[in-house]
Amino acid sequence: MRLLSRLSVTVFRLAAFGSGLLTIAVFLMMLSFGWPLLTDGQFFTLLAGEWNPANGLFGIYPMVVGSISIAFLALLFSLPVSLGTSFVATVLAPPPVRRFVLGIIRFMAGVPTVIYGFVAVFMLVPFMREQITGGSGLNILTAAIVLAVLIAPTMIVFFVSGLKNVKPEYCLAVDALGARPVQKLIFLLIPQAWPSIVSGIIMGLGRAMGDTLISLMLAGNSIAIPASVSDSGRTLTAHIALVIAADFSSMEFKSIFACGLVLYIFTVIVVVALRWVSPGQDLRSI
Amino acid sequence: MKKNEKIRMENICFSYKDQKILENITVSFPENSIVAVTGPSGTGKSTFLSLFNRLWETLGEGRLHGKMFVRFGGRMVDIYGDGFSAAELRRRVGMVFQAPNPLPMSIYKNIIFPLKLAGQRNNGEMVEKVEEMLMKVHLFDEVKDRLHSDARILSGGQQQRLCIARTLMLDPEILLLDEPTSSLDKNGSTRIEDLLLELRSERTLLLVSHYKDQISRLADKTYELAGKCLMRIS
Repeated sequence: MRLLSRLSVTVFRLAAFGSGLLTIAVFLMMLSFGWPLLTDGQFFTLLAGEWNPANGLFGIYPMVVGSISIAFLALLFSLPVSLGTSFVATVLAPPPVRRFVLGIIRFMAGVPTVIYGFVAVFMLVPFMREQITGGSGLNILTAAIVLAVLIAPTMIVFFVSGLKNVKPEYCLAVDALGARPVQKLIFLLIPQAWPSIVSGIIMGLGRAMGDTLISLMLAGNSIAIPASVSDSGRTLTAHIALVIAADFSSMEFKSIFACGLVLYIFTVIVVVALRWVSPGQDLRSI
Repeated sequence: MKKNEKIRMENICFSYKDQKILENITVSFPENSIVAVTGPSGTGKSTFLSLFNRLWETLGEGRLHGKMFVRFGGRMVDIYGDGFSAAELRRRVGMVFQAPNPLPMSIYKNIIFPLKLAGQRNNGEMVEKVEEMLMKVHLFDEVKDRLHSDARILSGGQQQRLCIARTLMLDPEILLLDEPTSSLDKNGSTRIEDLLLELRSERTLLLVSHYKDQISRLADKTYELAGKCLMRIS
C-alpha cells in the first residue's frame, strides 16, 4: 500500500513536471522556427510593421491589434453577463432556477465552436450588416459578440465554483446575522471567491485570445489595421491558420511562429498581471 | 394568550428530505427567561432552533406546517406570514452556533458587520457600540489593543464571546444558542454561562445543550426533544 502511494506521488509529480516542461518546449520550438525572422533585424518591424509579403514585409501588427481588440471586446461583453449569471446560479435565484441555469451553462460549454460560428453567419451577420455596422457584417464587433457567448460558460463555471466553495460556516454566520442575498454576495461571497473570479477572467481572456474559428469565420480577415469595431480584422490565430493552409517554407510561413510567440508572451503577461493585481482572500472591501 | 408569552408554536410539523423530524408541537415560551432544550443526538435539536430564525430555509428541502408567533413590539407576529422577511427576522432573533464562526476579517469589522448589514453608516456610533458590546461579553480588556487584528487568531472562548457580541449588536429580542459551550474548556464555558445569566434579564434565550449540570444552572424551563415531540421535563 505504501509502495502504491509512493508510486502515485512520483507519477503525479512527473506529470506536473512534464506539463511545465512541455510549455517551455512549445515556447522554444516557436522561438527556434521564428529565429530567422528575429535575427534578420526585422523584430520591431515585425511587431510594429504592416503585412506585405510581396515587398518582404511580414509585420504582424494588424493581427496583434485584431487579436487584442476582439479578445478584450469579447471579455467586456461577456464579463458582466457571466458574473450576473453566476450570481443568479449560486445565490439570487431559487434552487430549481439555479439548477436549470447551471444545466444550460454546462450544455453551452459542450456546444462545438463551429456551431456558434455557423449560426452567427446565418443569423447575426445579416443583422449586423443590415442594422448595425453596414458593410459585409463580418467585422470585429460581430466576432467579439459571438466570442463573448463562447467564453461565457468557461468563466461562469469558474465563478460558480469559487462562489460555492466559500466556507459554509461563514455563509451560515452571515445568513444568521440577517444578510439579504445581495449583501451576502457583496460582503462575503465575492471577496472570498475573488481568486476564482480572477482565474475565470484569465481563462476567458485566454480562450478569447486563442480562439481561431470564430474570428476566422466572422471577423472578415482583412490585413488592414482596424480603425473601429465595425471594420474587418484578422487575429493572430486566424492568420496562422490562413498562412499554414497555403505555405510551408517561406519567410511568410516562418512569421507565423512569431505570431505564436506573441500570443504566448501576451498570455503570460495577462496571467502574471492579473495574479499581481488580485488581492488575497481577506474581506478587505468592507 | 398569556401576558408574558414571547414565542408560541401551534401544531408545528417539520420534515427534511421527506423525513419527519418534528411532529405536532404546540408550546409557548415566556419572555426574559432561559428555555433549555435537551435530548439525544440526532433528534433535531439544532433544526428545532433554526425554526425560530428560519435559518433552515437556507438549506432548502425542508417543509414546515403549523404556525409560529413571536411577540415583537407588544404584538404577536406570524414569523412565516406574508410581509415578514427572513432577513428582518434574523436581525431580531440572533443565533450563536456550537463552534464559534468569526468571519475572515478583523475583530472590529466582525462586530460591526451586523450594523453594516442593517445599513448603519455612522462610524462614531459604531465605535461606541463596539466598545459597549465587547465590555458586555467581558472581552474588551483582552482585545482592546488589537481590534484590527484578524479575529481568527483569538482563542476558542474569545471567539465565541466575540460571536455573542456580534449577535448582540442589533439588540435581538431572542437569542438562539446551539450548544454554545461545547467546544470550550471549563473556564471558557463558565464565562459564557455567566454572560447568558446576565442577558436573561432583557431577552429570551433558547438554549440547546447536552450538559444536564449546565441546564440546571441556567434554565428556567427545560424541555426534552425525543421521538419528534417536545416534552416539558422541569
